[in-house]
Amino acid sequence: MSHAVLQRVVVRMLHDPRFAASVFQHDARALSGLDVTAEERQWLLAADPRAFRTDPERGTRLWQAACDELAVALFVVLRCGIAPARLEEFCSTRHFHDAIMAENALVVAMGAFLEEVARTRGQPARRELAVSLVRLDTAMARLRRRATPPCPPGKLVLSETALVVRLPAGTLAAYERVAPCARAETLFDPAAPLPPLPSLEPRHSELVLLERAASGLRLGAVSDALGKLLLFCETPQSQDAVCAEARRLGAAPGEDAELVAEQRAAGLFAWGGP
Amino acid sequence: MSFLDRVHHLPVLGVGVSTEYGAGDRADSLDPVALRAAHPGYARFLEVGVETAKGLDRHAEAWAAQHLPTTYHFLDVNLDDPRDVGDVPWLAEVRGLCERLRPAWLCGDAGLWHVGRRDRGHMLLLPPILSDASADALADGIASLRDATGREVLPENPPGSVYLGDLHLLEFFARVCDRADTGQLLDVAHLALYQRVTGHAPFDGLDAFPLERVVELHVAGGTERSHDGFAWVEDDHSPEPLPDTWALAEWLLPRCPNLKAIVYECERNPLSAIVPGFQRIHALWTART
Repeated sequence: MSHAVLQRVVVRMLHDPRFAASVFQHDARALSGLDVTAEERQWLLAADPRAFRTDPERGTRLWQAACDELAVALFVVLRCGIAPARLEEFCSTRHFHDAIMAENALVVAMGAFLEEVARTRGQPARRELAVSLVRLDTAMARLRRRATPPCPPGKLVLSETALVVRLPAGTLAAYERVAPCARAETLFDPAAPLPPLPSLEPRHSELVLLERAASGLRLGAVSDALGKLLLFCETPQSQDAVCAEARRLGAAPGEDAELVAEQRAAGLFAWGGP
Repeated sequence: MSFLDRVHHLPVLGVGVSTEYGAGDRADSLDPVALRAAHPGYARFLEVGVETAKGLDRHAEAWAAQHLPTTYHFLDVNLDDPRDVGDVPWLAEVRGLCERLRPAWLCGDAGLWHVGRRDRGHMLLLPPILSDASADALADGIASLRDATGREVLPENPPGSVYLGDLHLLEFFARVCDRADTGQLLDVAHLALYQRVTGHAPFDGLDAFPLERVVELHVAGGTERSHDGFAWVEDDHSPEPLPDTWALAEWLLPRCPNLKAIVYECERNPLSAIVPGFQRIHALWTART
């Protein structure tokens, strides 16, 4: 399968001229640790370096493809002091290269890149807001691709149609204000400002439940206790362990099993079978 | 039954035109149904480019509703990746679309359409690594998809500016066809650009290629470009095929005994711009038959 690894190296070289240059300059770090044979390295080095630079719009097209999924994230990041040209840096980051080699979803990697950019370069006054909204948009992208989690017999696990994220209090309300403004035609329009937003409360958090349904994604705040119980089940747990956790979080004896049954009925827990 | 026996059961489709989702929606783009009405000989069948996530657009639906001949051109499967070919929900969508289109066969570029899992919007399309191991993986995927759909699956040589490996493109696809026991969709525009960017003459490698496996040809326009002195061809499906493309088509048509179809890929152009190309292709096909 080393030809498949070689293909991914080619993808990285086509998107990142600096990486391509490092390969052609025999930089030992460029291909270190990769399952590529000596012969395959020779094929790479025998190619014309200019052939990798014939389509400089590849990075731009990645963002165009991600616009609908990361609309809120992009809308807010581009309004907290980050220039659109910064987006072009994505293909030179570890987010891009790691995602290609690990075959992870690029849109999730793009979300992680936006979060980093917002955290390190965003205007301080809007940094927390931008980071929080990017995290929420990225979580939605993750949920769209979430596969059925492995679950041994006799155990419960958070279903593939649900995710819980902890965010600064006020994030969900801000998201609901920004989302109607973040449309394809407004994302890169400097005349389209952020709407007035409620302040976040970084010292307090809220737990947001994301659910994937046939009609699309649903977002909603959940109580601290329920959110923590769902987070507890991100890894498979026995029914007894879930009930014990529910009691620890405040459920009365007897209510714990009822609560777990309710979440199973709502599709939030998957069951590994008897 | 071997492919060279099975190929006699495939229908002769003649000259056709291609489309993909949304290609015909621009005001100046080609409407396949209107093309067939105006010039029936130029649109005997429609090659429908399909991403299952998008489905069929109104032009493909209109064609299918009239029970006209089609082929199914996939745009969303890495044939060398067993995870991709064996993706059960995707296969169910492919089968459902095949029921609606009733294609004569499945075909499509045998390259890298996406990295990792099939994902929306990340259409990439790079040529395969031209090596023996890669040919093996591709052949396995073709055979697997044929088994899963009950239809012939014809690999197409993809376009590109970077080709890596120790095999000539035609030697590579000869191995793929042999190991998968299948036929070839030979895109002569892609072949011409491969020969050019790799420094070969236009007809290099054809003498050893099993022409009896060529079932379908693609002809399309391209634009010559240069980057820092590196000459390459953009496969933009513009109206005018390059001279090498015409030369290859003219050489191949009378020499491929099992050729069933030829597509002029020109879906994003107005009818007036593509009539001369169709006239030439139609004349070549008529002379052959």
